Amino acid sequence: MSDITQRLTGIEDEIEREVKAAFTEFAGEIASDAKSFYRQVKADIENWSRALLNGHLKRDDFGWLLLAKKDGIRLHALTNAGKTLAQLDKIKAKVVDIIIKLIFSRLLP
Amino acid sequence: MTMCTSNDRAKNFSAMTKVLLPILLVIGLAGCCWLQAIAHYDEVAYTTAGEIKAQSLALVERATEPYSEHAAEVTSLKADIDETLSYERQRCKNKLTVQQWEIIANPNGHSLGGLLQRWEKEGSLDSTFISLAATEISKHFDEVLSLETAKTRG
Repeated sequence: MSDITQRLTGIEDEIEREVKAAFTEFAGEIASDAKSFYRQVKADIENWSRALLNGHLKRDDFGWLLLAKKDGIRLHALTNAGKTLAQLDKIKAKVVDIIIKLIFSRLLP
Repeated sequence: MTMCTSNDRAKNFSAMTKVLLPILLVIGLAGCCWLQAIAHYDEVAYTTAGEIKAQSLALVERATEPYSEHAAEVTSLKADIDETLSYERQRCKNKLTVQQWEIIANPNGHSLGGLLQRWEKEGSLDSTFISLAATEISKHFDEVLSLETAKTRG
């Protein structure tokens, strides 16, 4: 295990804690999604860490990029919360269709 | 001239109700924002987000140059984003998209708004950083576009 990988160990659990504290609705689903998102961005973070240690990236810039990833995780969580609500809308629309169809069949047989 | 009896009127009313009630119900339910969990898909919102993304990334790439040379473009882009935010805020059940735009536009954050703020403050930024930051900002906009696409067609 590289030094960088070792330093980032345990961050997934922290992400889960932060996300669960930030969302009251769908907290479990969002936390699980955020962790999976972190796994997707892990490679970028490790590359930036190397660039930082090699002097290709300034400390402030590295910090900014890490926080940009954090904003990315928040944005991704909002997208997924929205996708869940959109699914709910599709279900509701189907239920309304069924109700309307039944009303029509009773009133205009 | 035929006389309309109360029995005829009752029959007519009943027939009208049979036709009108379902129509009114359909119109009522379709127009009810409270029935939705999230805003419907909006073509204008999607297109605008795509245009602002392109405009933003083109400008971010210039952040290695002196800010003073691009100050007018930054002001114009910020005005476009403010206008977009106002549009998004007036859409029914659109809180999540509004939150996304607020994250992107936040001058104290770490997306487009934050980068423009740093550029203004520092005069110019390193090319390696700009290249990496542009990739992140692009992904941020993709989240807005992805959420809009996921919304149901009204």
